[in-house]
Amino acid sequence: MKKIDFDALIKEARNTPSLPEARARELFTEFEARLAAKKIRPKIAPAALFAGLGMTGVLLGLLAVFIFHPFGQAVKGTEVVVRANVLPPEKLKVGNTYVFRQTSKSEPVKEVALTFGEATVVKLESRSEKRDFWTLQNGVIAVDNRNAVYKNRIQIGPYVFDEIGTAYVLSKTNDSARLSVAAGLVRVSNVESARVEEIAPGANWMGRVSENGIKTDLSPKPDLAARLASWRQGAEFSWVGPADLLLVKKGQCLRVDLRTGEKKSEFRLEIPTQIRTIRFSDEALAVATHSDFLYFADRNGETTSVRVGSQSAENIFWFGKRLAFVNAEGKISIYGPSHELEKSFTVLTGSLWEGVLVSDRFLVLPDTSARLVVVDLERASVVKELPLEEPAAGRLERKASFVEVPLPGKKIAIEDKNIF
Amino acid sequence: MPSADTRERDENWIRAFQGGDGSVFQKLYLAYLPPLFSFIKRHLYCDDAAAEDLCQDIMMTVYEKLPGFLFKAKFSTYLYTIALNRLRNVKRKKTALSLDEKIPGDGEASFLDGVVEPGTPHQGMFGRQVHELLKTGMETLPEKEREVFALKEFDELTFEEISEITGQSLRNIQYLKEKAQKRLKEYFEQNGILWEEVRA
Repeated sequence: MKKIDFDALIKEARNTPSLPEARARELFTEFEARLAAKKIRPKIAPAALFAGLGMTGVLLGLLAVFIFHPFGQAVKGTEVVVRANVLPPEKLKVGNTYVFRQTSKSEPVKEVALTFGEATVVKLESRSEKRDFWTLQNGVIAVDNRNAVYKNRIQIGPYVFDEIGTAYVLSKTNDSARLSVAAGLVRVSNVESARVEEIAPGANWMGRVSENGIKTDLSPKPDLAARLASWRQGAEFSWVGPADLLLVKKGQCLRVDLRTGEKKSEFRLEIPTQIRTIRFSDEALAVATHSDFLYFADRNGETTSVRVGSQSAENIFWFGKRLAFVNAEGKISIYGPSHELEKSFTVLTGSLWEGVLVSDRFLVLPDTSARLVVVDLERASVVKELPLEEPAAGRLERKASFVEVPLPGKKIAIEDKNIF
Repeated sequence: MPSADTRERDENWIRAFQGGDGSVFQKLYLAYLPPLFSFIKRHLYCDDAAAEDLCQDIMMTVYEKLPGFLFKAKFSTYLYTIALNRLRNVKRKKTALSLDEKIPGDGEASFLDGVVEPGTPHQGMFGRQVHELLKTGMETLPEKEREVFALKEFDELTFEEISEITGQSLRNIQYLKEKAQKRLKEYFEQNGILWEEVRA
């Protein structure tokens, strides 16, 4: 019979990953916003109140409130905190002037063009219990969804789709998205006109979304929607064929036909280390891990691995049946249809941020030395180098006819005509 | 667990909060969020996002109720009491809402998943088996025993603190912990592993 050391085993089990301080600070910002959204104030316990003030103090306080309260006058300059993803929670009063302030600089509010600084509310139109439309002094409309904390957002052209409550956005491609709503609402805002374009209907709604609007063409069974919802959190997902969805979570893969609600297959990816990123192609998955290996898996879960050395988990691109992997040192490795290494070459001084495919063969990558490098993956060669003012400060994003490049403090657009 | 200094520090913060200084709550929040997060992960086997959400809910309750804090117990005890009650509610709801057909591995990350540091005694294939066994063994325990065992062994609380948090007598707590340990030992033996106690 094998033996274990109980003491050591328990010590290991105590070793739960902790929360980094930076994340704790972010959460506190979110916490403040939630407090404001729910209008939570500490419930003053009578004992504590009386202990601190005494009866005389309380009476004097009440008298002061009675004398100095503005009773309906405009509350000029009251601060309204706007967190990145939650709009001002207070029910603003028409005629009042408020100072709109944003708490987080790292996550700017994008879903509506909300003025920051002092603004007067000139119109308040309440359309439902959960949504209010405010018109501010400068004509900007703000939308408030109390208690909504948006966790997923996709933007297609001028449209922004946000989860609200228990809605789930499932998948996104370059020019369209498919989304599933297990329950609740998806808010669709038009960023350019700064107004709410459409609120998708409630439970068990499934549709495809493109720049032309929403087209509903799939309607999963309610129980499937519930199961997908339970799977959604922390799962990677991809569409396979016209209506099959493949979800991968903790190595467990589930393929379902969303039209019939039937489970088509279920299998496990045998990958020994923790998964960082999964990239899907039509026939295979590429899985970056916390080890030196990159794994390829077919749709049945059969895996092969290749050693890629240092990690750059986000810079993985399928182009047709081949795959390009860019490591942190800027080396690009191209793997063929059978996952064999076809070629590797170094074109960057280093790679910190995710690049973007601008066609089925051209890859734009930000370099650590203030330039963008356009690589022709078919020919494994550099097509062009575009100088930048400063090194990119974030991942590149593909937009309709340009690539958006985040630089420190601003974003610039590189148009396609300058790339090809 | 918090030392006497920590207790004094916490009590000063709480008094300031009760006196109307709302900004001091940030200090309490930042001091106790990481241990609360780990506590939830260990007890609920959930992913990071779910643990963070629950932490926020618990902190919200603390924020609301802190003006009524009477300094009879340490703040950490007070916090864990609220957290444990919330965890019980969540577990109850999860059971009530569970789907008929459960997907294997669905969302149930264990506190034992991926936490074994290199160089620790129970690594490799056998180590994974042992950790998996501890996880499944814990799941076989009755709820009260599991709770007490986890609070004592994983959260390293004293029997007195566990007694305050759970509202059970000290003697009962000790009994539940011994009982849980005995059951786990038997469970390991049934699975061909002898549990060697080297602790004093």
